[in-house]
Amino acid sequence: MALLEIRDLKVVFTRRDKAPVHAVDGLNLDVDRGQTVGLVGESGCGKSVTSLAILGLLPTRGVEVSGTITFDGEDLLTMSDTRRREVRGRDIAMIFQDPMTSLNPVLRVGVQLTETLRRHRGMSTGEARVEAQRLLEQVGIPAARQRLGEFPHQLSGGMRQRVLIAIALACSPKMLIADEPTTALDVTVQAQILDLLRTHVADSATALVMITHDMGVVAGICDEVSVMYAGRRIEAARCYPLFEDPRHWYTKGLLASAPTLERPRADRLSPIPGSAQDRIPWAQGCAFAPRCPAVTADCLAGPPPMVSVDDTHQHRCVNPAQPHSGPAPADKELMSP
Amino acid sequence: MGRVIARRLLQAIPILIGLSVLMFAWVRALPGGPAEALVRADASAAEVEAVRESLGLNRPIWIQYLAYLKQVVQFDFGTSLMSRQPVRAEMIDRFPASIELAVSAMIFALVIGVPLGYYAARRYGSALDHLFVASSLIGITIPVFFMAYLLKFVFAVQLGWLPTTGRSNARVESDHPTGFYVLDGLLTGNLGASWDAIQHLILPAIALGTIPLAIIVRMTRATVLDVMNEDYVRTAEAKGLTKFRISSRHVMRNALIPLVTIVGLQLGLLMSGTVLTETVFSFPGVGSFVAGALFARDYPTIQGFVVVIAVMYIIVNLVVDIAYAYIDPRVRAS
Ligand SMILES: Nc1ncnc2c1ncn2[C@@H]1O[C@H](COP(=O)(O)OP(=O)(O)O)[C@@H](O)[C@H]1O
Ligand SMILES: [Mg+2]
Repeated sequence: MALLEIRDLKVVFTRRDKAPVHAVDGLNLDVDRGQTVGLVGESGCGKSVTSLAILGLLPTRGVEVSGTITFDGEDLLTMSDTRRREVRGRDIAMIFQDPMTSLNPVLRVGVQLTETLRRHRGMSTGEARVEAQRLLEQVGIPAARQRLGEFPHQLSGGMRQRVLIAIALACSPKMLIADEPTTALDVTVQAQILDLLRTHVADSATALVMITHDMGVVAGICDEVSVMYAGRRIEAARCYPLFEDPRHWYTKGLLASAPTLERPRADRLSPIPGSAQDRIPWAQGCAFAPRCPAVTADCLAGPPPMVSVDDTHQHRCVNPAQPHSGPAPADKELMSP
Repeated sequence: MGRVIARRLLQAIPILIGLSVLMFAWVRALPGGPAEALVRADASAAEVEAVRESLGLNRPIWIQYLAYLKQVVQFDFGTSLMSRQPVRAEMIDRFPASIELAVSAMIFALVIGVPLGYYAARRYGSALDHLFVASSLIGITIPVFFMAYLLKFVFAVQLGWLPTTGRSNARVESDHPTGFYVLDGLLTGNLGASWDAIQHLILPAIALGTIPLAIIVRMTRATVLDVMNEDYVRTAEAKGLTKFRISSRHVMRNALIPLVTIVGLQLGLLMSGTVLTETVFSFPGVGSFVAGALFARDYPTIQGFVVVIAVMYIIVNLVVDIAYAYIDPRVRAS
């Protein structure tokens, strides 16, 4: 049994006088112990909402959640608030996108770090302080002892993200969720933070869910990748096959628009035309169909099922791209029986 | 920090001088002067002129001002035209009374208002939240004197639970080294006197504190709602901290920052806005006294009290700034 098993997760935001938003729409996802899984997709496809659902941090009003999220044998969606507060921060930790706003501005770094240790590891104030200093050193913060007494505004963005990583790693969690942990940072700092996460995950038994819209981040760090579109997983594979042999046209589009060494992000090429708003409900067909270069009539004939290419590679495309195929074969429809 | 305080105090000097000039000009621009108020209604112009001369009011106004300034820097505010007592003696009597009343009103507003506002925010959109918001709107619109009369009528006159007027019961023995009666009782070990003073404060403090209470409820609710949506509160939740720890450490600490400003502003208003409450409860404070002085065109009293009220405003503001720096490290840094 996988460490985390998400089955048919649906999160709907219902707002008065507005159409409900199906932020997560039938998601299945497995994460094994110690594994690093990438969760990629354009902004708005439901990545953050998924992570908040796992941690039980969605707003309590105006949200409908269904499906199951099993973590280490327990259903996170139905457990009591008290139990969830024990699991959070100890077994599942989270790093958020914006380090500038994710630390409390009026509390010292030391307080924000030691409160987790005291809560989950039962340390005394003194023990927690020693451990906090060790944690800061571990994430590469110089003059760690002095930093403990400082306030967040005295630290740079990169340093703050390191502090947040130290907080997340404080209890050696079984799973760490990092939601675009480098998006808000400078390019050079991005690389350092990714490096830090990579080494820590490699050294520990912690599973990592790396949420990103950046294929470059995925390539550097993940064992497996799940691609999300309109709240659902549309392709999943090990990292290398996915890059070499994407089957879903959306994945192909994402890869084509991703920066590479030869083609840095300054001149991003071929973004996927249209926007994620142009979707159709999964019940009617493939949500990506309105933007897809290879759309066929079959694409609009009900929800596309998950198809296996092999043991580790699945996708949800009715008319998949062939290995190393070029742009959409326009005559495909004519040739098929 | 010390340098900031020193700078703020220096900045206060020109403000005080400007204010005293305005004040000086304003009281003299009021129709009718102290001489007219002092003499009989049918006095002749010559008699009025004689009184004016005896009060020094026939000198050029700027000479009068300089003479006044020279006195004031020696803490001499002249002699009241009404009571013939030194203005300073009246101040020593009346300021502690009003400060005690204003502080009590503020304590009442804070102790009730902050928990209610916090509770409303936590139950955002619930029936209780709506009830608190609606009652705070009513609270803001109730005229102070109406509230004061109502409280006095119900709790003092009808039920007889609390005294109707004054600051203390004449039959309770007491010494007053500081003029703050509650404090005096504690200092002299006379708890009975303290309790007596508190009983006299309860109704006026509630009357005076109702509007600040309503404002604090709304303000606390709004800031707590804001703070609860901040990323760092989500971080705290993600760490699995207890609800109590999150609300006391992460939410309230930040919600206090805007609250401090409101408390400072309201405290300033309370100091100068006690007239109606003091009148209803015959409370011997600043408000009712200055109102009387205004009718009598008692220049020295008006001027002196206004200057001291201004000084208190400045002190309250300074305390607010220090409190700010204490709560918010970003302020301390700049
Ligand atoms: N609190 C909310 N209320 C209403 N809609 C929301 C809320 N949070 C997220 N959404 C919607 O859910 C969808 C998925 O959002 P999100 O998970 O944040 O996307 P991303 O993949 O960029 O992280 C978006 O359409 C967003 O507008
Ligand atoms: Mg997101």
